[in-house]
Amino acid sequence: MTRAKPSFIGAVALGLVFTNPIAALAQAPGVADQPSVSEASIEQLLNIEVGTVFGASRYQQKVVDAPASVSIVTHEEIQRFGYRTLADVLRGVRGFYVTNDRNYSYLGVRGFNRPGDYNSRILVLLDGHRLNETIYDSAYIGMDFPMSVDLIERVEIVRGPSSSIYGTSAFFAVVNVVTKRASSLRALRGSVEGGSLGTRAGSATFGHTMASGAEFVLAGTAFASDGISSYTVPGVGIAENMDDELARSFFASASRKNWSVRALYSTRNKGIPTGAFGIVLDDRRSATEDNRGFIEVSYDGTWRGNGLLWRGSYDRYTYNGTYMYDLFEGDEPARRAAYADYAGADWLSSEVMLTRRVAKQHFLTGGIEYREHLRQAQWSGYEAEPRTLDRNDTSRAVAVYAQDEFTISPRLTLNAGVRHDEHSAWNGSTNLRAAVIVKPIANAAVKVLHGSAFRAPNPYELHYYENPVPLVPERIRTTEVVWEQYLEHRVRLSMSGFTYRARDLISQGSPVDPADQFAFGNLDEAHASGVELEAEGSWNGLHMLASYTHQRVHSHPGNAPLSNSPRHLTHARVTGPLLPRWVFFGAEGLYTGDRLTLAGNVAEGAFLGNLTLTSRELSRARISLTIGNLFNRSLVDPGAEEHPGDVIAQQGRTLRARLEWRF
Amino acid sequence: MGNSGSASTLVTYRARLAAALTVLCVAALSTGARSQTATIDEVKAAFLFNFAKFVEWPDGDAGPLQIGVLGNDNVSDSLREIVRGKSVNGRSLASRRVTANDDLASLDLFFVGASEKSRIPDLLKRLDGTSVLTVSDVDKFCHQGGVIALTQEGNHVRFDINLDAAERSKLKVSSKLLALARTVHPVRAAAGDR
Repeated sequence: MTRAKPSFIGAVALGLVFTNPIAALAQAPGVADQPSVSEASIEQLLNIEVGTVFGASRYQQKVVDAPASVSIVTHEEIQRFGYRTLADVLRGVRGFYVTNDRNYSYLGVRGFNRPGDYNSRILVLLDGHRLNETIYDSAYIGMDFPMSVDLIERVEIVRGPSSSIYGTSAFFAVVNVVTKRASSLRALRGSVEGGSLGTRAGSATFGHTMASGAEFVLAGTAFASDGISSYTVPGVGIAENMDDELARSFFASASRKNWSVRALYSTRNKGIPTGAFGIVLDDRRSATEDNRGFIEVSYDGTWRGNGLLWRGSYDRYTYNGTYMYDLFEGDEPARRAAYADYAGADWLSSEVMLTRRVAKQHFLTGGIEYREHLRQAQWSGYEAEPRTLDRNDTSRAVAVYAQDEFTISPRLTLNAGVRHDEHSAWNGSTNLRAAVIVKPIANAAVKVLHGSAFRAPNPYELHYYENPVPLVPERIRTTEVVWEQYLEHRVRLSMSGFTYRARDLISQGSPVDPADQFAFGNLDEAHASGVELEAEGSWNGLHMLASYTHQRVHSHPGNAPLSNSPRHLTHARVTGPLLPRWVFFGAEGLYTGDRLTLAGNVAEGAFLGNLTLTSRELSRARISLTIGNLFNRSLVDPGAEEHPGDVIAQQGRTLRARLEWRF
Repeated sequence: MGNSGSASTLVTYRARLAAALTVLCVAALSTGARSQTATIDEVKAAFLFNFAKFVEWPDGDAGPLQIGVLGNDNVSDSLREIVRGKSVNGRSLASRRVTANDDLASLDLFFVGASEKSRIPDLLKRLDGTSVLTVSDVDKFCHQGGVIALTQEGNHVRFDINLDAAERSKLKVSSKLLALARTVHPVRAAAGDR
């Protein structure tokens, strides 16, 4: 593979930088503003918020210094707002919206939520470990997310392209889920939950720190729901009891000194009530099963004065779809048959990352990643018939990256990164990200961000059909200006404007024959622009956050608006005491503007209100109550090509109660 | 689908939301709570000052309380501002940057930043048997034999205390500090567990 040469040269260059054993600092840089905490009592200090983010640059840095527009959701907020999935968390984040087709949840970012995209243009990380699988590049954010939200310490949302440090799929955003440490879990906890739609769930988490410093975390969770009893598919019929869901997950970690081992496994089964892909509406055998797991060993320490991170991991993913059809002979249904759709992947990854401070002003990060895809299997076909698709591919990917944070003065920082990815199945891709961060006055930061990203064609797109034209990676270029202002009295304001240009977007269809739908091609280009405003503040124990996004996304050329792309998004949330010291409330209101459906209709803009009440911990127990869709609005999301209904009806009002206790 | 009746509802929705947003912004701007503008390093520096208040050094120590900071200039700059003109238990405070080659045993409080991670075992060995209150934001500092570890949990700074290490250094940690600590090592009476 002669193409790999640039990576090799890059690796050597990186090696030279990081092997110089002069004492260097491995800690994230920062600039001090004027002290405002000097009079604070120690109790007050424990309550002060310090916003830092890891996922933006792969080291802990202040949100103001991150080369991206960043949001953080903490475990306190997850509890206060009764979030039960990552989708719930992300739905409330500025500029994000979630589409649910009653099987999977799809994240929309900056007006992009393309039909049939299983979150492949978002990179989801669990403590830095890539969760997107390697057949469809999909990332799970619903009950299929492979870990209980109880174990989440914080969720970091990094907007914009980050392929310059993460490679493929870090296209629109990176979501890094940081898990709780044993020390913050404090022994054994359990929870049981029950609610509307026959929902019942339970979870247990255990964390222990030994005198030697070794830490252990164990967690298990189970969730079951009957779902909606009858679901009407417009123009097709009614699906009875087809919405059931069953999910389980298990997580374990152990760490000692610099070494950690983590393992997780999750499985989830879901019925299909929407008649997707033209299946028989009322046959309960139609269902999808998704399994995801990994085991990872990592070392986080120092080497010759550099910060050193090494990871090695084995990942596994399987998907089993069963779709029931009535097969016709002439006009008569002759027999009912199950169509099976399978995908399975196993892969090994290893990466090394070094961080180093050079001459006080530079903070360098560099690394090499390698992935060996041992199995990328896909097959499908009717039972007892020859398979229509039967493939097993292997591939490998290697990447090298470097990044520098250059503090020119306390008021001016430059941040630049570059990464080159090579893959055995497609041409390589080089991506850049550059940021100029200016702090013109106290407590204000202006960030000018420019970056590019790619999403590689995945094995599904490469091999499901015979593509007439070989696929190339999708590309995006973005420019964004962010202004963040921190005012006295715990108020933060942020404003940003952005333009995105995405090209070579892969869609189903042939670039040579418009009538041919049995192919994938680099068919589309889209341009987006928009502004976002956000205000956050605290007052008398109330914590409030409100945001508004205005965006326009158009195809290019043609200037036609994209489907499932709301022009307006408004989010607001408040949390605080209801009965001081006894009951807290968390209320959120989410407005998603009008969205075009695939058929060219309008899924009307609608307001979703959620309310959660949480008791304080009473002799080791805590009760919480969540009302979803408080005002019982009828909400719809646009469907994708496989849905016979143009829109998918969402859930009306639901009620959920949860009891949590610690031993 | 799309019809004119819904367009007017939409307008009211938007108007209401815009109003709600405005109210929220104004409310947020006109509030009078504590400042959130602190950076993590300032908060850490303020913690160091507070630790000095709630720890008693063995008798005989007099003169200014000497604080040394290694490996984090932001913490040392902030701390210098914080301790200026202040005193604890009748002792004035002096904070300065130190290097690893300085006489660390002459300090009363020594903060070592996470960037010096690789040197920490060596530094702690040098301070063994002295009455220096050691504090660090490095991972698992208490397990390495340090007295107080600063750590981040969610968006907040927390601290752990190693009582054995404090006793070895003849430092008396106030019960208030122990009660506020996230974890107290060794975890005997579960003193830190709330």
